[in-house]
Amino acid sequence: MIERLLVVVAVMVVATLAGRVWQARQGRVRTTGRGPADEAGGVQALLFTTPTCRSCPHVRSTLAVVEAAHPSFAWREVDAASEPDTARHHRVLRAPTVVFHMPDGTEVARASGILTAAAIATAAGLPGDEVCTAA
Amino acid sequence: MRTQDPTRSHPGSAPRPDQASAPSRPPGGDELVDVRGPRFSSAVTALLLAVALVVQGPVGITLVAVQVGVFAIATALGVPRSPWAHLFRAVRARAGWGPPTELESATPPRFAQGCGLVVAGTGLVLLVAGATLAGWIAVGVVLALATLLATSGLCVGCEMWLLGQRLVGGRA
Repeated sequence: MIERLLVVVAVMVVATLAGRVWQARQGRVRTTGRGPADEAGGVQALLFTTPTCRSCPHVRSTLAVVEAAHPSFAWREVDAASEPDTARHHRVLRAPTVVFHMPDGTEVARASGILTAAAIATAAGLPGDEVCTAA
Repeated sequence: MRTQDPTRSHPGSAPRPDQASAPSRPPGGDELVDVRGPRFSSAVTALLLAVALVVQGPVGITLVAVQVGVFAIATALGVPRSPWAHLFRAVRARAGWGPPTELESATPPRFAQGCGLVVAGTGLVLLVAGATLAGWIAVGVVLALATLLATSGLCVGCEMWLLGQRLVGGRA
């Protein structure tokens, strides 16, 4: 009985810790390839969504806030359900995912989950101050 | 069941789709649920399966059978019709948790309940057939996934649904 109890508690603790790791990854921008700093202003973004995604409207409105503060920031929403080839091309497995890329398509960063306006501005190489106050 | 309607205790709040005692299905749209509902349900599921794993024997197997039944109802009739969802609405009304802060589509959670039905159902069959260790391992997998959703809000089954949508190419 005691052994079973210990096993059950261990399973639940491991699952909780795994969830904490997953939570810590939410909204964290992971840079891939070149950093955006040297090409400020040129970074574009793709927002991958699905029709039933919970956090997608939140990220969509945050991207709109950044665009309002920086009209040069170009982004587009990709519905992974209607454009599965685009999602596959960018190796997107989850929604929402934002892929930051150069105009030539070279990816510079990506993030999954809810993103702050400041994180988007940093990933896109934009000055973040006015975005933060607008958000 | 008027007492389950939480809008009565919050007269200032606007009615939301899932606050009616009979969950609504908007025409042409996905059914929406309070995001706290699936997390509450998974906490009840985790608790039930944890007790089942510790107790084992006929009582433990009966508890697994109850949870398999709950998975079957949620999969067949939709997440808002799950017995644990009814329990959630009753607790929410009584505890005064207020209106939903966030709504989510009921489709991925329903798929996740179907995944739970398959794994827990397999475990139940193995337990009844006498393959005790294999059966309890299957129950342990469901316990881990239910704990993950309850404590972190990560619904692995829901994520698998999104992945499946992408691979299949969508239904829109």
